[in-house]
Amino acid sequence: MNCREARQYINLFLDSELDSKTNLEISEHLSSCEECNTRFAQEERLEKSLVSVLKEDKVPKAEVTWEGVISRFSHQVEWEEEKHLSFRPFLWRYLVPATATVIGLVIMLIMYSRQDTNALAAAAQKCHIEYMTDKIAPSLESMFPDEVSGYLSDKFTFPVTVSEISDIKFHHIKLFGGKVCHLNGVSVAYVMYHCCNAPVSVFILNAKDVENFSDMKRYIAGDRILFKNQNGITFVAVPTKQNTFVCVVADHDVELLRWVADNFAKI
Amino acid sequence: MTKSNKKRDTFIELLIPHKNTLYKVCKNLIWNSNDIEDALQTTVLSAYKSFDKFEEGSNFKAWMIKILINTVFNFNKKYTRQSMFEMFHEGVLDTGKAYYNEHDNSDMFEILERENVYHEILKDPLKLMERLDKNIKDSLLRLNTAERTVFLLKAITDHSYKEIANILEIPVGTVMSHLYRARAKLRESLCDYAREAGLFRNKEV
Repeated sequence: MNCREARQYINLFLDSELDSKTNLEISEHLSSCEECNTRFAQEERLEKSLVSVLKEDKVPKAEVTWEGVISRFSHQVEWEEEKHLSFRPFLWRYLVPATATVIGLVIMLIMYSRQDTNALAAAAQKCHIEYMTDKIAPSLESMFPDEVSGYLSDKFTFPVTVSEISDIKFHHIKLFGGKVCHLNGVSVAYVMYHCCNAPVSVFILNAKDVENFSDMKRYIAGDRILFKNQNGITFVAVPTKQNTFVCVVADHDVELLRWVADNFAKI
Repeated sequence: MTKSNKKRDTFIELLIPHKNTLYKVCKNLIWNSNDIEDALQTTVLSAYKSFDKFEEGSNFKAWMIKILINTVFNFNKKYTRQSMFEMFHEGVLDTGKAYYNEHDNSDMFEILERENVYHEILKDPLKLMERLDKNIKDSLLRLNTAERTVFLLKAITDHSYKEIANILEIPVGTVMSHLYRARAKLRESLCDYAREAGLFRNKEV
């Protein structure tokens, strides 16, 4: 390598940017050429003093500026994190209760659907409450069993016999009337009684129709069915000899309901 | 909370050793010195925002400088319609010399070679440097943006050509040619200054 070639690479050599082969060749030339060696050293020194003026550039404002920059940065980051965190109370305040409500609704829905809207007990109890709260009235008001029997028998394909119910333990059970009603789309004979100022409902339905009610399917094998809802309204169902079912619903003790039901079953 | 605090502390810890370098680069490259603090603030925040993308163990300094340079050029953009790409490629595209070629550019140093003052400066740079502080800045202003940026990055940050090329997103050859021209022009300025100041006069032929 001659002087001219070596000097072409002076910048790259001093910046240590040469490949090892060229680097070695230049080093070899510099060790043999006094003139180039001096020149390289001088150039390096000049570059270094130029750079040192920039590098040692006293920057008195740098410290103060950075202090301000970093403290403002810290605040900014903290503030942004708070903003981020404030989203969490929002989460707890709104999102979680909302989710809980949705879950609650779903659970209620499941419970409700499991409660069987198709159940005869529930439908009969509902109808009884309507009677109790005067929402429905008998289409035939009569105190005489024969009259009610005659009225209802005309409307059904199955025999409806309304019996006189004798007193039980000084409770007088008084016939009030009858009407046709529909429980979950099934036509039933609805006979209304009164006992001690509390209504007693008796539903007579065809044994064939009983299969339409989910709860009755389960109890069809047994002869007596008893339910009690949370309001204390009791439901009793018994089959009769006339191939019908009698359901008694009342806010009374079970013994009275059984007595009423048995009066129908006897016929 | 503690996790993000840790992230912030790690970030500041990495940042502290490069405070002065960043400040100098910013100060020397920004056109309006009133923008220095704003530019640093913006740089720090945008770096922190993409700190998750920073790969641990890679060059934090180069990464910060890159963000700083972009921020500084965005600040400078307020005063010009020239884009960063134009700044770094304009001269190169104009002359058609996209890559550094020692033979094509050697004329600049050959001119210097013929100047006696330059040889005097080389022999005794301190004589000139002692009185130069402010003058170097003036000389730097005579460089175009690309040359000044590359020269300052080399001088202040000590990055390699490749790192500078990555920071500025230009080819390594372009870094070389900008640096070459910057150095030659600075030396010419030194000669001019020495002549005007009457240094080395007695020795000049």
